[in-house]
Amino acid sequence: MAEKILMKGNEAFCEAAMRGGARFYFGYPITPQSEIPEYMAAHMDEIGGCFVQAESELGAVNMGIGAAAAGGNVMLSSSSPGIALMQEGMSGLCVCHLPILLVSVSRGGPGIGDIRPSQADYRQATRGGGNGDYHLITFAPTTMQEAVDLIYEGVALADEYRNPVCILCDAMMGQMMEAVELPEHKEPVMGDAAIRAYKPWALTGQGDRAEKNRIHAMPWSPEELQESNLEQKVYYDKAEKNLVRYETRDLEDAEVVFVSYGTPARITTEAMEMLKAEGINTGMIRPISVWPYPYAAFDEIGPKTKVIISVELSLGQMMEDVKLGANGRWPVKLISRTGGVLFSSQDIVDETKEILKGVK
Amino acid sequence: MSVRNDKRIVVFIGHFGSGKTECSVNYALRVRQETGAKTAIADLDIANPFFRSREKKEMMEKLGVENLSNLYGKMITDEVPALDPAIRRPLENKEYRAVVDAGGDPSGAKLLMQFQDLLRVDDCDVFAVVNANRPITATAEKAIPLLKQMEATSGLRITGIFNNTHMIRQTTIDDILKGYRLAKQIGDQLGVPVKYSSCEEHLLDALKERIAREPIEGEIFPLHLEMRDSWLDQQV
Repeated sequence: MAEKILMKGNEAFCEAAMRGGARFYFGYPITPQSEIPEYMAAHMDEIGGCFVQAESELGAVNMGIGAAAAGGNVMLSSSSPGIALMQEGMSGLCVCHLPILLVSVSRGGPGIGDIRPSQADYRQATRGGGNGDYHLITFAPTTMQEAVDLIYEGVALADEYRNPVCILCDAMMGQMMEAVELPEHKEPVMGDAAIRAYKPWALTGQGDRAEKNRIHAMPWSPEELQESNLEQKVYYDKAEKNLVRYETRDLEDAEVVFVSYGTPARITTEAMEMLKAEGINTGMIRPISVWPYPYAAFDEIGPKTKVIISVELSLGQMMEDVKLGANGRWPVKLISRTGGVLFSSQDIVDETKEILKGVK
Repeated sequence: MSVRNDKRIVVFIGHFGSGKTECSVNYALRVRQETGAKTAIADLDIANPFFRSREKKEMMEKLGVENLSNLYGKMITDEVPALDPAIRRPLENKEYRAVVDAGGDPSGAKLLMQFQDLLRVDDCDVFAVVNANRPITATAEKAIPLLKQMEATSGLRITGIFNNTHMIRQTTIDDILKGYRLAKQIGDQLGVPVKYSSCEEHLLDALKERIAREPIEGEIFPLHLEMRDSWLDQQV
C-alpha cells in the first residue's frame, strides 16, 4: 500500500477502477458524478486505456456491452436518471453474461430530481431497473477507503461472476474528500492473447478455435433462454454464498439496532455516541453488500433489543430487506429523509427516542 | 503580521479540492473579527455544488460576514452558470473588506476576468491555496503550470502562497511542514512570499514549538473546520 493521499470520492473511484485493471470507460456527465468522466478523460490514456464521451448514457452502456464482449475490462458510471437510462443495457449485459463495473452515485429523485445525496436508487440497484431474471451484484460502501477497495476488487469480481458489479454510493460519497491509500496497479488484461487466456468466451476472432465464440443477446428459443438464465443462476447462488458482507457493532447489549449504509451510517454512528451519553445502548448492522443482502446478520442481534430502525435516505426502500432479515422477531421502524435532504445526528437521536416511547 | 496588512480584497485561487472554501471562510471570519470592517465573501464557484460557503451563510451572517454567490435563494440555481450581480458591491465599495472564493482550476478562475476592473493590484491580494497532499499539486512541477494557467485565465497575478496542507482530521505537523516546503518552492519560483500556513487549532501549540526551532516564512493561520460536519469523520 502506498502512502495516504487526499482525494475526492469521484476521483478515488476512478483511480481504484484503473488500478483494478479497468481500461475502458464510456460515460456522459451528470452531477454529482461528473468528476468521473472528467478524471477518466484526463488519465485513461496515460495507462493505455480508452475513454469515450458517449452521446448519452444509453450510448455509454451499449459501448460498454461491445467492449466487454470483446473481453475488455469496462467501467461505467452515472447518477440516478442516467443509471435509469442504462437499465436496458444492464439487463442486456446479464443475458450476455458480460462483466462490467458500474459506479452509481445517487441523487434525489424520482425523475430528474436534484443533485443532493439520496439512497432512493436502492431498488434500482438491488431489484433491477431492467427486465428479466437477473441481479446486479451490489456493494454499498460507507467510507472512501471501502469504496476504493470494493471498486478495485469489483473489476475482477465482475469477471469471475460474468455479471455487472454495481458500487452504489450517494452523492455525498462522490463529492466528499477523504484520505485514502490507493492499491497497486494490477496487470491489465489487454490484447487478444491475454484476453483469450483469461476470458476464453470473449469475441477475439476465431483464430485456431474449432468453433466461433458467440454471445447471444437473444437466445434462439425459450428453452435456450431458460438454460442461459440457469447458467447465470449458478453465479448468483455462488454470490449469495460468498459475497455477503456486513459489519456489526455493539449488538450484544443494544436496546435499539440501527441498520444503515453509506452516508447515513456515518451520521448514525455519531448519533449512537450521543444516545450512549444519554444512557441508551444502541448497535448497528451495516450492510456492505446489498445484493446479496446480509440477512444472516440479524441472527447476531442480542436478547435486549426492542426495536430495529432502518436509517436511510429513501422512503424505506432498504427497510423491505430489513424486515426480511428481522423476520417478525422485532418491530422494524424507519428514520428517513428523501429528495436529497440529509438528517443530522441530532435528528436521529430525537426520532429514536420518539420511536422508543412506542415500543415495549 | 496580520490579515490587517493584506489588501482590501483577497482572492483565493487553487486547484479544486485544495481547500479554497475552508480558507476563504476562515479568512473572512478573521478579517471581520480583527478589523471590524464590513466584510463579505463572494463565492464564484459555479461548477461544484457541494461544500460551498453558502451552506454556512446563516452562521457567517451571525458573525457579521455577508455571503454572496450564484444562489438566488433556490437550490435549483446551484448549477446555473450565472453570478449574483450583488457580488460587485463589496468589490466596488471601499468600506468593505472582500474575500473572493474562486472556482477550482484554470476554467473556474476564468470568472474572475469579469471583475478585472475592480481587482486592481494596489487594492487586491491573490493567494494561491496549495495542499501538498492532493496528488495533482503534490510537487512544484505539477502545481506551478496549474497556477500559471489560473493567472492566465483570471488575468490576475498571484501575490502570495497559502499553504493549506492537511489530511483532514489525520493531519500531522509533518504534513504542514511538508506543505510549507512545497509552498516555499512554488513561492520562490513565482517570486512571491508564503503568506500563511494553515493549522487546525488542536495542532497549534505543537506547530509553534516546532517552528521556534525551524523558522518558516509567513504566519500560522489557525483554522477551525467550518465546512466539514463532524459526522463526516466518524470512525464506522
